[in-house]
Formats: sequence, C-alpha cells, structure tokens
Amino acid sequence: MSGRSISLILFSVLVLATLGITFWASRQTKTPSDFYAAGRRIQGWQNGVAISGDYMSAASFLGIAGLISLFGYDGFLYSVGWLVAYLTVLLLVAEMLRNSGRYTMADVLAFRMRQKPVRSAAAISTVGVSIFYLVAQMVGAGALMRLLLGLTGDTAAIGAIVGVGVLMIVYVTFGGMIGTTWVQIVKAVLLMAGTVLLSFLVLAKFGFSMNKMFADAAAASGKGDAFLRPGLRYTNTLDLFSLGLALVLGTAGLPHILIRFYTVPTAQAARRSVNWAIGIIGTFYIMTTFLGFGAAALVGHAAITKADKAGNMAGPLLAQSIGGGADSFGGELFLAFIAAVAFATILAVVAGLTITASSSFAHDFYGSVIRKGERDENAEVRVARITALFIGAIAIVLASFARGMNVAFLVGLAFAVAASANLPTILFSLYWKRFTTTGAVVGILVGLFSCLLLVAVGPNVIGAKGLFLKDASPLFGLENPGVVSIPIGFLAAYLGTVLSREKASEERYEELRVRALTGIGAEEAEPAPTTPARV
Amino acid sequence: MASDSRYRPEDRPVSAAGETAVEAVGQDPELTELERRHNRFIWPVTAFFLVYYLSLNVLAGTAPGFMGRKVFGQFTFGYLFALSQFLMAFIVAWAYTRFARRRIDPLAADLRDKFHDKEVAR
Repeated sequence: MSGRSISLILFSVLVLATLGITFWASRQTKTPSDFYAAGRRIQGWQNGVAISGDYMSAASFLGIAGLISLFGYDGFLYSVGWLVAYLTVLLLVAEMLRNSGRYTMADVLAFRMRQKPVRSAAAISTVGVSIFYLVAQMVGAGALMRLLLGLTGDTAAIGAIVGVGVLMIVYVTFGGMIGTTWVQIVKAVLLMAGTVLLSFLVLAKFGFSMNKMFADAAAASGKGDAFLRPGLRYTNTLDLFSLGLALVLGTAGLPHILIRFYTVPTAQAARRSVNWAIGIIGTFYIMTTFLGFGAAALVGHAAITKADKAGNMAGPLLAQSIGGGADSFGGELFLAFIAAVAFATILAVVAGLTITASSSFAHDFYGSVIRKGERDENAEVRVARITALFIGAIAIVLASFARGMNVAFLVGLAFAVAASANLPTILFSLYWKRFTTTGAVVGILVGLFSCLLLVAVGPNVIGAKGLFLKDASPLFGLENPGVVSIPIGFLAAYLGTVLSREKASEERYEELRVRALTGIGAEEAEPAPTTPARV
Repeated sequence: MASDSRYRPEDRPVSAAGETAVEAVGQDPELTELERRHNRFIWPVTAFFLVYYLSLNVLAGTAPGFMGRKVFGQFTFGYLFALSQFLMAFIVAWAYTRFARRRIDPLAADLRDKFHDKEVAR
C-alpha cells in the first residue's frame, strides 16, 4: 500500500470521527448557553486538554520542530514563550474572566461600560484577530496537505483550503461549542500520542543520550557548536524581545483562548484547566527538542530544506526515517500518521477560531448594536450559525488568494494585536476602578491600528523579505511590533480614561469586583434565563 | 439605577432577601481581605516571571557566547536556562494553585454562603 493511500484512509477516519462528534454534539445543543459555552458543563481537565488543542497549531507542531531542525538553539528559544504565556493567563485573567463574563471576551470588557461602543470595538478586534490567525492556518493547511500528500499544483492547495474551510463551518454551525471542544480534545490526544511516540523512538536511536543527540545534530547541521547557541535565526535583540513580549502578554488576550474559560462551571475549574494546559503544552514543547534535533541529526539539513525551505517537513520526514525510511511500509505508515495528526491539528484550531469570531459577531455586534440590547439569544444563535458560514467563506477566499505568500507573520500579528488592544483593556477593566468607556474604546482601537500600521510598513510587507515593494526599505525596522504597540495600547487606554470628562460608574465597578472575586452570580452550570425580567 | 440603559439587569443576581451581591457582601471586610491577598500575590509574581522570561531573550540576543558555553557535555548554559523556564512555569503554577486553594477559595466560598444565606440571617 502506498503512503498516499494510507494517508487518505487515516484522513477519512478522522473526518468521519469528527463528523460523528459533531452530530452527537448537535443533539446536545439545546440552549444558547450550550452553543456558546457548552452549557458550562465541561470539566476542568477536559477544558485544559481542549485549550491545548485550541492553542497548539500546525505552526507550533511542524513549524517549531522545523525551526529547531534548521536553526538549533534559536528554535527551542522560540518555543519557550508559548508556554510561559499561560502564567499570565493563570494569574491575571482566567478565573476573574470566567466569573464575570458569559459568552464572549466583550462580556468582561463591557461589563461596567456603555454596551454599544465597547462591544463594537471588541467585536472588531475579536473578528480581526481570529481572521488573521485563521488565514495563516488555512494557507498553512494548503501548503502542508500538498507536501504531506505529495500532490502538486495550485488545485491541490485550493482543494485543501476549501476542504478544511467546509469542515470547520460544519463543526461550528452544527456542533457549536460542544462539538468544537471535543474536536479539540481528540486532536490534543492524537498530537500528544504522536509526539511522545516519536520522541521516544528518536531518543532510542541515540541510546537515550541527549548528549549524543546534540553532538550528532550539531555535526550534521554543518554549523558545529553554533547550532547549540543563539544567533542562527534571531540576530536583532530588540526584535526578539518584542516577539517574546507579544507572546507572553498576547495569549491572555486571544479571544479564542479566553472564551474557553466560559465552558467550565467554577473558578476552580478554570484554574484547573490552565494547570492542565500548562502541563500538556509544557511537555509538548520540551519534546519538540527531540523532534527538531532528532530531525537535524537523522534526516539532515539538505533533505529537510529540499522538501520545504521553511523546515515544516522536518517532523514528517523524521517520522518517515524512524519508521524505516522512504518506500518502506513502516516509513510510509509513520509519515501518514504524522500527516493525519497535522490535519487534526489544523481542524481543531480553525474550528476554535471560527466559533470565536461568529459568537462575537452575533452576541456583541448583532445582539448589542443591531438589536440595541433587546436581547433574543435564540435569534443570536441563529445569527452566529449563519456568521460561521460567512467567516468560513471569507477565510477560504482570503486563504486561496494568499496561498503562495509567506503569511506566517499573521500569527505574530494576531498575538501583537491581542497584547496591544485586548490585554490592556481586559486588565484595566478588571483591576482599575477609574477605567471608562472612552478609555476602553480608545485602547482597543489605537492598540489594533498601531499594530496593523507597524506591520504594514515593516519588513514582512515592504522590502527584500516582504510581500510588496521589494526594492524599498521598510519604514519600521522590526518584524514584531509588540515592543512599540503594547505600550501604545496601555497608554491609549490610560489617556482615553484620564483625558475624557466621563466618570466611571463606581456602582458597576463594585458589582464587577464582587462578582469577579467571589463568583456570585456565575456559579450555576446553566446561566440565568434568556429573557430578563425588567424591573 | 434600573432606568440607566447602559446596564444589563440580568447581570445582577439578587439574594433570597432581595439584596444585590454588592449590598450583601460589598462592604464585607472579608472581601477586602480577599482582594488584598489576591493582589499581593499576583502582581509581584507576574513581575517575577516576566523578568525571568524576558531575560532569556535579552541574554540570547546580547550574549550568545556566554549562552553557548557548555556546562556539561553538549548542554549549553543557554539550553539549561531555556529548560529552566519550563520548570519555573510549572513551579509558579503549582505555587499559585496552592496559594489560591488555601488563601482565596475559603474566603470566596464564605462570601458566597453569606450572600445565599442572607434570608436565614434575618
């Protein structure tokens, strides 16, 4: 049996299994709370596994292993921030957010503010961040499926993009948050199983001596000891600092991660979710060392870059080599398995992003702005389902046009926007008594647009390494805008508050304080009735 | 208050005695104590892990030679420092969980009980 047909069988099993989950989830989804937040019935550990599934994208699975295989130490350095970021989530955000919101990030931002302006701004930022992330994932999906299935030509890439897009629409429209959660759990289990197995086999090849693995990798890389120290990939300290800052602060502002905390019944369960996520994600990134250095030593630099210049094939090629090499049954089986894991990874992440963007549009924009707060949550859910269709269609079109481009920087942009626009507003909302509506709106919009502007005039877009104007030099020298845009976001939220004459609602702040700290009003698994009694 | 359209009345839980959460426990010294303990833990620890993490990136950028020095075998200082970040994250998460379970959760549970028991107390 050829590798491609094994791959196709595994892919089909995966698609059928996830569609089965979606069908089951659709039968469980009866109320708006079920659709948006899985009825708050997800257990802490389950949510922790789902967060890991939501977070570890193909970029981190294949991308970081690839970076390590090509640049050694610098690749491992890059992976660290992805984990440490969860301490920001754990300490500052997770529990208070769960206690004070219900369905979207804007629930917390708008809690003590005027609903319309804050929800509109938060919806723009949520949909924006999710679409950048989504397009990056789907362009990656197109390229990866082509590589993994050994197909050629644009039709294959577009086919993969459309296939992934249609599946994510189905998961979200029919399965809602329950379906999305279980797709993410299945993916996380597959990803961890694949990574543990591969790491074990790699270590066995080196007689369980990491020392030998490092030595062989450094020798095979052709760079010697330089492979084991910083400097092969990141040469600009300020850019590296900026990247680290955006990672470590941005995760706590990523809407698709934040809304996962609404799916659990208590603050303790939210805490337990982050702890599980930290355990899983930490273990995963430590193991990428084995995949990356293992690939450098066993597959070799030339073979990795020949398959894909960015190194994305390092993991799959390593699996093939461990299984017995190309054209052996074991090699093809391992390759197909890793390809299926990568496919599951992409599906779980895009489903999480799609439900986030759709929920925010329906709950924040349609519910608050179009219906002017006369809430009808059942109508909102209908709107959310239709929105998922549109978000999916938009992502398919954008990703098809961008398929040949290097859009990896879009993930960095999503983190920078999350850290510059969302995090300042979340922190001030929760912890600063004087914070006002003007401060929140100004903070979100200035943070968002300063990131977009700095990236648009930076080296990823303009100049030799950029998408356009290859002869020009970029106006802003850093690839990562965080070091400039994050302070701008905090400053804008602060100045918007102190310079406007608006007075913060003290009474509403007290309510948020009591609720966020104690959980009063957010204890039940099922939240309050959908149509409030007007007093 | 109820006339102000910017507020969403459904967000405001009411105890059996008809009090809002703020009326019931907003002035409670236990709440102030809970908030004080929370803030005294999270902000210094956040400052610590941000500095610890960012110093890895700064050292990698400014002192690659030092980071590349081998401590034993092929293990460089930079690799061990990066690996220690994972350990640091596990320890901070463990310490926070222990702190929250001992110093935060009992107070929060007490305040919730006070809110729900208001009727009984009268």
